[in-house]
Amino acid sequence: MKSAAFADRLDEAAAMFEAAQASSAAHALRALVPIFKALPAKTVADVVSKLSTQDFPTASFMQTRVDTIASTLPALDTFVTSIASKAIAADFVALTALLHRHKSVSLDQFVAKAADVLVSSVASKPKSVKASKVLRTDLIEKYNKRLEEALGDDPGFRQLLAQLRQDAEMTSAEMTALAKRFAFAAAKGRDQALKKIVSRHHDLMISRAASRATAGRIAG
Amino acid sequence: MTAIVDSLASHLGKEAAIFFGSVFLAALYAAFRVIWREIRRFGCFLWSRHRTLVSVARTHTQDGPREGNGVWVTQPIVPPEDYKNSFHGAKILAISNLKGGVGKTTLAANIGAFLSHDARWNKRVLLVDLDFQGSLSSMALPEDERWLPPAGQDSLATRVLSGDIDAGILVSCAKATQHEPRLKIITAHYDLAQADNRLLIEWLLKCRNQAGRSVRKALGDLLYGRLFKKYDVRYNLAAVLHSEAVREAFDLVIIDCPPRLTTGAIQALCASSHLLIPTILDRPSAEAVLRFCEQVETLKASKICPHIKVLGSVGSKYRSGQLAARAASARISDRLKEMKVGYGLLPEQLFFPQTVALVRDASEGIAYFVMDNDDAGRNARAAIEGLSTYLAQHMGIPPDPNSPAQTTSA
Repeated sequence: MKSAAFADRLDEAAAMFEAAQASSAAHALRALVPIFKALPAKTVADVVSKLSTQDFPTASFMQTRVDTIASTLPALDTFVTSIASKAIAADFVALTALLHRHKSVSLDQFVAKAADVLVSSVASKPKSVKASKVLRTDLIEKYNKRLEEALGDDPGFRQLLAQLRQDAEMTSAEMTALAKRFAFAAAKGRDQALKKIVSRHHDLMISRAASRATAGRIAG
Repeated sequence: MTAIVDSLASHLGKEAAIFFGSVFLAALYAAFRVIWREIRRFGCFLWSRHRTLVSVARTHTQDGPREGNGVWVTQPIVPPEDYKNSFHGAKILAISNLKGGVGKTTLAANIGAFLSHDARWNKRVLLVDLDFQGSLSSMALPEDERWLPPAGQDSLATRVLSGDIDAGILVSCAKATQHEPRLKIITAHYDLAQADNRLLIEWLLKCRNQAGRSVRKALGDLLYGRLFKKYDVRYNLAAVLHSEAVREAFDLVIIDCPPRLTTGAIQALCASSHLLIPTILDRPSAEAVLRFCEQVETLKASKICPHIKVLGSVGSKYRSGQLAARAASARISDRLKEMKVGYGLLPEQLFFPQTVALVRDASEGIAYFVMDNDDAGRNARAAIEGLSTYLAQHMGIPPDPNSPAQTTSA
């Protein structure tokens, strides 16, 4: 089940408890809703799986603990199992188990940290970092100009290439952009980009060698 | 001798002695002629053999023997009289590349079609097909099998390359294409393959068959003192295409060259004022362009075709935005820049696009005439127009002064 739908179901259950004058249980259930709204597109199993590896601080004396819900959920779990699909029931079981493991944690802190963990897990994805990283075009242009100047000068080009290889400032994305700019070639990763950059120089060297081999002879 | 004559005169009488003496002298002269001819033939054979072997001989270097420079740079070079001046005002475009399948024929046909058919140009264009497969010929005359030579006879291209027909006959024999009478063609067929070999061997061995030589031409040669002029097969086509008759009959000649340095290809390079090198923009084709450019430069440096002007290389079957095409372009440009030849790739907007419109209807004729008027057809026509206009401008071919556009602007 998707987290967003599960959050709605929790909200409905809280409303039911409220109607039954069980306001503490209703409050506890509603407190869990933000956790499942943090990653609405993910499944409940995903969310539970992400939280299962986290540590949460133990509640102080005055704080409401997670076990206030942990005691409510088994009853709800039995009810849900009898009327809902197996998938939903499994989600309830997984949530119950999670809460049971952290029953001594402050409910508010549990919810706050869980929401934080879930949101940051999406934000810290490497893909997103790559996409958001700005390419330094001036650096790429500088290298492109130097490569163009060194093109055909074998020792000079190799020296520049060694320098480029050792330049830790050049990110993989920038190296790929440089390969596209200089050698008109798409590359995946730093090593491949360097290979493509060399290939343009190498082509010129091959062409020269072919020329020397022809040695002014006519093909006929 | 006197004793023999006196003896004959005493036995047979004076008149009979004179008669038999004359017969004897005539026989002696005839025998001398035969012997002299055979001696000359033998000498010629030895010299020709030597010349041929020298032309193809390997040279010896410190690292062992290596192949020679090629037969087409064989000395002496004997261009036609006034060869250099004959290029003034000549509009002869060779479309050549030693790699096959790069679009030579398609370009030749469509450029010719545009410049002859478009109302702004209205040029009289002669296409010369020098590829024995006759692709250009069948494209220009798709529904007319009469361009094929009669059984056992030679195609027009063979006769022109052999020097068997003069300019006047060439003009009258050129066949008008199906869609545009201003566009004419010298057709080629498989006999041209034999002709390419024959002409090369005849030239090297100096044993050109003169059977086809007309009495009129022989007398002309005698009168102008050309009877003993050395024969150079490389300039047969130049002699015809640079003639007044061809200049008067056509505004532009476009030669579709074969993808090898055959006799026809060499004759085309020697006759042409301009050269266009089409290429596909991939790695092997880029390398082939570079090798061909080197060959052309070698031929120019050897004074075989010193007056040809290379317009550059044009991309064909081109898809814009492809990184591989840009890499191939860079490969060509890098090396040509290094060679300092003064030409390179033509601007990208002149490249011929990869479109089915250019090849879809090839069996029905030249694409420019038979393409549908859909998007693909319109784009292909625009590409043909762009490249043709560029070439015409760089070859100094003026638009038709009587065209509506020119009249309006005037």
